[in-house]
Amino acid sequence: MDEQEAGRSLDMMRAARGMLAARTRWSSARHAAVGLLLGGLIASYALPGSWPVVVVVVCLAVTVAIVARDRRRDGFFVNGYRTGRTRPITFALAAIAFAALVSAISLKQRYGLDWAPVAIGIVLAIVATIVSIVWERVYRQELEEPGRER
Amino acid sequence: MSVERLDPLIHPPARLQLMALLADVSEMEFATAREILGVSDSVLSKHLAQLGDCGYVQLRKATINTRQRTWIAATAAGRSAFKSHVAALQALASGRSPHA
Repeated sequence: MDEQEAGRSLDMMRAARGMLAARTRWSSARHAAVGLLLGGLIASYALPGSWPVVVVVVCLAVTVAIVARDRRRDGFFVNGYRTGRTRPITFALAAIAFAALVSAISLKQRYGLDWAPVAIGIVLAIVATIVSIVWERVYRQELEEPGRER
Repeated sequence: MSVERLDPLIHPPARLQLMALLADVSEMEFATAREILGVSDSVLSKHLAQLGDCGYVQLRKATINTRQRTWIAATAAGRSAFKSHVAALQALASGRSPHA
């Protein structure tokens, strides 16, 4: 294989990735769903008794339904923890969500601030929605990036 | 530094493009891959069989709304081989010989 043939092969590969990038466009509602799920999980700690457990189960069921819908609609599935430039974004969101959870539980149980989980949940919902939008953009940029090896 | 090794199994254009798609997703439906690559069912099936025989891809059947669909995923071996192949292509395209 010579230099030109190698270049043509790389171009064909980039073209295929470009077509995948063109299909990678999730709706605002889909991004908001990520925010609502994460925010809802945290906010549910404001509820009494075993209601938080019920909300967690509902959120898990909704997550499964969203993934199934994504697969049907897009014809492909991308794991949030995939290697690449999106992975730090995913870990950052997981860290923020964990910090939000600890804060919500701590503020409610130690300081009696029953409304804290709701407030933190609302903030997290907004942050997670924005992070989801950023994740999609970074993923698409990675697909369209020339000379990417992975 | 990654290994740069041309893989004759990945070299044909359709297979290179298929592996490029699969490297960036967890799974892709057969019909989606066929549309993006612009090939027929039989051509894609043939490429998948060859990649599958070498353990580069795996297929999974799933029934959605009473229709059976095939999902394709690159294996760890397939991703590694693809990465090495692309690294070798980049070396060649930049005018130097691939090294292992």
